[in-house]
Amino acid sequence: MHRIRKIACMLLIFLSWLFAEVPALAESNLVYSISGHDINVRIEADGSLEIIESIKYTSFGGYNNVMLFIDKQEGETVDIKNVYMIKNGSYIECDQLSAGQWDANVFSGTYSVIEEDSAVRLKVYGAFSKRNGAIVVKYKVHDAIKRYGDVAEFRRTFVPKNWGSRVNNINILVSLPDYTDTTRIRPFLHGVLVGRKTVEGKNAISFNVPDTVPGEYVETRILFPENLVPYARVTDDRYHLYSILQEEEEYKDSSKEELLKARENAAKEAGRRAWAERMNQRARIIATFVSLGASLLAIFILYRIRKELHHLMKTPFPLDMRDLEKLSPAEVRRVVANGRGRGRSFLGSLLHMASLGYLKVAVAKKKDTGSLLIFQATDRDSFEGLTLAERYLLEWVNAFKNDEGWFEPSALLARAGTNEGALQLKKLCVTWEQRIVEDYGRKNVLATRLVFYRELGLLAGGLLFILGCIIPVALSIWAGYLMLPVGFTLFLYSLRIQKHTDYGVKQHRTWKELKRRLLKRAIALDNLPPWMTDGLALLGYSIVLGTEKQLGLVETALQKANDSLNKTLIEDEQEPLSRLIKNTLSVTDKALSWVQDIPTDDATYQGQELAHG
Amino acid sequence: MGLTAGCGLLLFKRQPKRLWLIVFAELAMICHFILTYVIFANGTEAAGTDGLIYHQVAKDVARQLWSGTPLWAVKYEYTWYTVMVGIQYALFGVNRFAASFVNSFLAVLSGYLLTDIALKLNYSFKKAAFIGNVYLFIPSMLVWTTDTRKESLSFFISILLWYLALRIVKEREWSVIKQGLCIGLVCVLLYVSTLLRIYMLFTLGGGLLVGLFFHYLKTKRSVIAVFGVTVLIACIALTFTMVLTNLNDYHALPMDRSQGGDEDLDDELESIIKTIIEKDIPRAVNGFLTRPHLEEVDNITDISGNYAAVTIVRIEQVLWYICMILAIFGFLNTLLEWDPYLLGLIAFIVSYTLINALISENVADTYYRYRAAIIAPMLLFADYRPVIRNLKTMLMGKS
Repeated sequence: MHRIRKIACMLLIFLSWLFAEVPALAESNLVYSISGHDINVRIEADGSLEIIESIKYTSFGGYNNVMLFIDKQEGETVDIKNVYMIKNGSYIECDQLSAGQWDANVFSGTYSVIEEDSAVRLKVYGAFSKRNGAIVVKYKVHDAIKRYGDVAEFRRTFVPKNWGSRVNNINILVSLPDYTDTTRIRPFLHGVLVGRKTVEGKNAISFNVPDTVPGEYVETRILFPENLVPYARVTDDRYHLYSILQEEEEYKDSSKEELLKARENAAKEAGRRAWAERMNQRARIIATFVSLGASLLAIFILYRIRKELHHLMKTPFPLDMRDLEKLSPAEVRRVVANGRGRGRSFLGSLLHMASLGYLKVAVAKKKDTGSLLIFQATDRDSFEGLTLAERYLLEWVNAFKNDEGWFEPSALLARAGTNEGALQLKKLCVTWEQRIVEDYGRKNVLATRLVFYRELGLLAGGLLFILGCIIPVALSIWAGYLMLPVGFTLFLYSLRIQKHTDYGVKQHRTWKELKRRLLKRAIALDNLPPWMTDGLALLGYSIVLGTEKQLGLVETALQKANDSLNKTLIEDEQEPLSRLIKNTLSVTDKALSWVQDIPTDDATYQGQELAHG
Repeated sequence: MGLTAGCGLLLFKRQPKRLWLIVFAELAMICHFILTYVIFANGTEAAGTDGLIYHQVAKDVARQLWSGTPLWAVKYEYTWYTVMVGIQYALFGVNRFAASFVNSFLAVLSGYLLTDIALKLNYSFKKAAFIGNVYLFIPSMLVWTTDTRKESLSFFISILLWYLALRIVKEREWSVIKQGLCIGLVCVLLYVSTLLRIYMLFTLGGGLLVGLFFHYLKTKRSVIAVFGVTVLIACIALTFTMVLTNLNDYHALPMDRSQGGDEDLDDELESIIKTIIEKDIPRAVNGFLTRPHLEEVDNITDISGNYAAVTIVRIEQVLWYICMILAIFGFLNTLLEWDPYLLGLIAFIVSYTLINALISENVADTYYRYRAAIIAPMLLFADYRPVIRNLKTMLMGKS
């Protein structure tokens, strides 16, 4: 038992890995990256910055918001002016999410601003469902320039260190408020190993970084004459040029180990993704073939089982059926209708038991249901000629009898109408049906070879059903879904294999033929087996076969017996036999159907015995 | 919390071991409270996405109510849930914490109802309480039902609807009036669900109809026929009066009118069909059922960089995969037993999965949030033992 549990646990872990890992391989490229990041900065004379950031996203598997981190240093204030996003090929202006502006559809272009200590988090909401998305953000940063006694400093981070994805083509253009000597402009670029900084002219500096990977960052720093920002607040009137240059020398000489590590990690990650993509492709191809192969194999197993079951040719039916093997009415119902119509089985069995002398039958007139057949157990002690299910039914009749000792089918209906009674009735039904299966199973024993096929079919079918649920979802392949119906069909077929054995098929054909002949009145009483020629027994079999509308033969059999009950049954003009059967059948069928929705709990029903009284 | 305990005592008055269930429910409430304070640590006017939007709209609704606008004339955006919160704000003052606490209460109540559904399906108390507790403590459920999002109400209505359906089909001693009232309430819940999410009519209504159809075939009870016909009429009426009229302006559907894409209903339907055709269906189903994949979790904007949250979501994802695998056995068992109620639930799960996979954006966190609606019904299937027990019983009688 412990070993089974261990195997089950390991299987579960493997299957959850399949869900967790394989889709991860399948979707390896869906993490978005930034394909272009253009930044235009204009430094104003008052030390503020006018910035326009234009960001293009690619490999966008779909997103409803994007985030932009705007660097905010101590003493600075960031003022978002406009946010645009691309939609249907053109830019639209986004509305800020704030009170009073709720008329716009949030996913058609809005943004929110979250102020943090060292950054402003700008979230743009929209339907970024296409491959390409773009936003443009215009904002102003107040008091962004540090003005010292000898120099002014511009220092900003445009790609933060903790940015999780790759950023490509970063182009930053910074314009100074006025012209100056190019030798007095000193640009610095931090955070990347590859990048270019150029003084473009007397008032423009550009930075170009081909790409950054997670772990790298883009920090720009420009030193320029402090008189270019005459209206800027003085940060410190001491000289800072020397110390800043020294800082830059130190940065230049540093090992930049972190950046190297980040590049290395990114290369490894790219390699892993490429490998994962290849593996995913292979896994999908293999899984497609496996799914198709497994489905074909299941169909082959189904074919083999069918072949194994039907190696005898169909034989013609005899004209008379006197040698028909005896099955109880409940078993007959199981053969011809797979157990459907429990009321018929029930009533047929009662009438069969009455024909054997275990029950007495009478007619009771009821206002609400019309006349019904009612039953009473006789004093007969032995159970000769009764099946297990019929013996159980006999106990049932005794348990449900009224004060006068009669069992009325309408009592079942009353029980089915209450929660407790319905539960009890369901339990009785389940046990009774189990016994019918047992009775029939004894006659329809599977050969060892068929037991092997049944178990093979069950195992293969069940496994295929489970794989049919997992593989197409985990690997996103159509072919995998084929395993679902094939697996389930094989599973069900194997489970109900007894219905398809030679014995089962023969019984099915024979009883169907008898039904046809009874309906067409194409059989005489003498051509029926002796155990069926009794009026009540024939009535019971007619009911389970569904031929109760053609009662001519039954009436003949009842007349032959010539007892008082039989006369009552066939000579009552107010309540003809057909109506009597119809009423009783309606009540029993209704009562037994009503309780079929109660969940089966086999643990509770195993060995359920009736409490008498 | 008192109300939570009271509801628990009332609902499980016949269960001797109910105390533990209620203790866990209270614990879940406390978790919700803590989470509420964590989410709103930086103030209630900045935290969240949808929750923040609904909160702002609800404030506007409350302002309209204060200015004397009658309830039926109130203008609201996005979802009817904002009106609910707006009414609460109008009555008790604007307080996002209070609105979140109401959501927490509804989530716990949903957990109770789920437990009771399991009990009424004849599951043992241990198993039913386990299902209820998993629902209460699963991290995504805690998160989605804590903020001022509509998920909590949406899940509650969905579970309540299935709970009522089960009661109607199970209870044989109810009077006709009580049955009629409950059937009416189910129709009202269908209406409210449609107000909250337009496609819920088809998933819930469809699931119910499938369940009731098989139920009627199996039992032939007239009350089931009446129930089924009423639900069918309600579905048809709601389709024409609500779904088709509101389809154009429904914000969660692609290319709606507000995006300047389509002008009329035909175009809207055409765009939906086009979206579906363009999708790689197996991949979309994979996305809905399995995303965010483990390596995607740290890309979810709301938790990105939060190591603890990322780890919790990853653990939850693994547990969800295990739950799905176990549920396959439950599905197999349902098909074997042909249990109409559970067949209805399967129809609900399948239709909800397909609709969301085909229409929703291919976004991991959207899938993650939308998928939360099927966690509760999936938990009812996640057990491999019944199918093995049933097979054993079936085979024992046949060998």
